[in-house]
Amino acid sequence: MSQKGNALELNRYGLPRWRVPDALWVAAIGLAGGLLYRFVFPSISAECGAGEAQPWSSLTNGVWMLAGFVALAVTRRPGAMIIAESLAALLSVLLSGQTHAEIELAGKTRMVLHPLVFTGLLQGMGGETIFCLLRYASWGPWVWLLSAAGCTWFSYISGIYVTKCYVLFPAPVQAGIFIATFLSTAVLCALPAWWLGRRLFDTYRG
Amino acid sequence: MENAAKSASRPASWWFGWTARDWAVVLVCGVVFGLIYRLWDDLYTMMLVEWGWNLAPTSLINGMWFMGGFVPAAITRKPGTCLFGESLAALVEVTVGPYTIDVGDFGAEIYRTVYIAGQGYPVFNMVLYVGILEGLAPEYVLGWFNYRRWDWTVWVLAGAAGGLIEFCTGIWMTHYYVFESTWTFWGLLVTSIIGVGLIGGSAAWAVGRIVWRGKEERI
Repeated sequence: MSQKGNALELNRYGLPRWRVPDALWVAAIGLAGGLLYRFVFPSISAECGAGEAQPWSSLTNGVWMLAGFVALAVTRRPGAMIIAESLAALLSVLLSGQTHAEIELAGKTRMVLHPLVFTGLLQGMGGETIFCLLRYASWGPWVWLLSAAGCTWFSYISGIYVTKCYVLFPAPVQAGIFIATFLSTAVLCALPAWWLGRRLFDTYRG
Repeated sequence: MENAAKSASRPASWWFGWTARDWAVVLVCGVVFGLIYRLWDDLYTMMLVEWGWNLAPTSLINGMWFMGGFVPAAITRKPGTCLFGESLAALVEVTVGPYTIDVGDFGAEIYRTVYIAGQGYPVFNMVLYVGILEGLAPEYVLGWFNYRRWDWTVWVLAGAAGGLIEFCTGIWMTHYYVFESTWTFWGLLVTSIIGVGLIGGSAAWAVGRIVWRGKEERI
């Protein structure tokens, strides 16, 4: 078995079985992440100048992926990252004054739910993909780094197509934003998540 | 499980256990359905613009936008085939010309222009990323059953996830949905899920049933 010590109970499809404590953990982490996304991280981002033309200011972007990575590291249940990240994004949007945004749909301006909710869903999906393809059986550092790359890629896509905030920058700055976001996601989220999961689920090694 | 113990940080087999046959199925289906999507772009625009069909009932045939991923997944039953087939189909769709259509944000052109505060910026055609998302959402549902269950229920669930994500991309990414009323909004949501889930999912289930009849023990 790949997991020793705190062994995961498997369902009849061979995947980790969801139990009530897992759901509670994911919900709690998602709600805590929503509070952080609303009340703590925006000021940190603004302090570091994220969203300006210097790519290095994107070195704080990893904080926006924290909830999903922590939830998946703590529970290792299928879908934990998508659920926690979407929940955190939804809560942070609901807590902000701006729950809806004007979007031009086929030439008409409409009020729809704020696009940051979709951004959160995309980030969770991007990070969860590699674990899903590997059947939630591999939890090594390289898998976590691939997950960080997927998360970075989908967050960049949402910056281009959903919120459109990156479109304004020239291509070299966009490349710099991508690299800086990946580095910060790897250092702030993926490697701590790997370490946390190893401490929780694997036997102590040396 | 024994393989997983040997290499905890690597997959048990290279590239999700795909064989040469799986590669062939994914590549052929991706290219063929990409060309079909390219033709369907023109047809779909004709339905909505020239013939003036309502968006909500027209979405009942949206399941065909998912066949580039559903068909290889139903035939091979391997992880990742839905995602890669659909992504390849979307890439072929936005790459292959001639570009005869320019309506909204969903025509086939490699580069599109996004206007922000009056100034135009070129971006890669977002239909490629819509295709990636449309392959990814059903992939999760198949993966959450560990690629072991391929019955009708699972296919309908996978298709429903695809319909939901397609609805979201239409609102927040491509911006081509227009809602005359609240009824169109909810109707579009319902018909997207029914069209992709019930109809597209059933089609994929039928394809898999024909291919795998009597061979279930090979899984």
